[in-house]
Amino acid sequence: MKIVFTPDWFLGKDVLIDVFSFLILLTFFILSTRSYQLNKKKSSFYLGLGFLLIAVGQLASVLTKVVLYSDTSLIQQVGQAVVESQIVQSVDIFYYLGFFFYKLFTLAGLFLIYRLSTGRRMLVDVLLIAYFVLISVIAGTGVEYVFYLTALILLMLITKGYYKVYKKSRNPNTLLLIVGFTTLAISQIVSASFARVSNWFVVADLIELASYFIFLTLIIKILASKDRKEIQRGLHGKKKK
Amino acid sequence: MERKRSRADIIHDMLSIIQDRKGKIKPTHLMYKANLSHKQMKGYLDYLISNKFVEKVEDGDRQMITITKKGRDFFSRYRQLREFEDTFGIN
Repeated sequence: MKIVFTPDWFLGKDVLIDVFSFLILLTFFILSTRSYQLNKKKSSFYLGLGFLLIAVGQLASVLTKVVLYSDTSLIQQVGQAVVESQIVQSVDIFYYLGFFFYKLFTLAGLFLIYRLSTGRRMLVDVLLIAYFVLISVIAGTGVEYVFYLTALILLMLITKGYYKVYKKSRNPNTLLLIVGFTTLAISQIVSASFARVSNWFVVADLIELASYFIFLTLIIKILASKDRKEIQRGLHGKKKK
Repeated sequence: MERKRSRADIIHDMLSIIQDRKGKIKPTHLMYKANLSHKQMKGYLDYLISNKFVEKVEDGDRQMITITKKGRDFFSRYRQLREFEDTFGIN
């Protein structure tokens, strides 16, 4: 049985991509937390929580892959068929459990960010989508594309939400955020379409890497932001009334 | 209509005004420029001084308010977080 669909030459490199993604997500979490400490806004808190959940999902993926790849070399060293089948079984359970948490945390995080980007607050919405997220995670463990499709739908909804924000603010950073989420959505399309084809798996991973580079550019732009006079909008706002 | 300024906005505005005046300003000028009442000004100035963001100094016979390094750092960090909030439409 084939446990992972990564081609041999790409083993390890995919872990590096996951680690890179994890660091970017962690930075967004730190920025959200600092923002919450400053303004005490719940939306900052939930945005941070959303990024943290996805980051934890990435970490689950990293740990699973690291253990899985080192287990494979262990199997090669031992080389006995009986021993191999036993280890494969334990690795198999570990694989499903590890990626179950990866999927659960990723979709839960994306769902939180989607909720914030649209600003909707209906309890029925929350319960219904939370239910679909859970179903996607459980069903997606056997049928890979269910997970990727759910992630794709959430990413499209997030992009739509931020497009509304962009239409109001015309902030170039928000546009960059939209490009990042769109690129991430494209990687989900590739993953959903060719979930079990090794080379396309690499393509999807590389597109995902590109999206995280876009997010890195966004972080750099935010941290290097120059003082803008409109930051004093409060002062001018009072005069405009 | 613009949104109401938060406490953090007002603190940022006050520090921004002091920065614009080369780091030193008269208390009354700061109060007018920051659009604050006398009572508000006293409250915020006490907060800024107790947090060492600004300090009162004597300049001849006048009392002036100067921004500290900690105040400049806060100003810079606030700017970044504000940019982050604007990017994600948090308001």
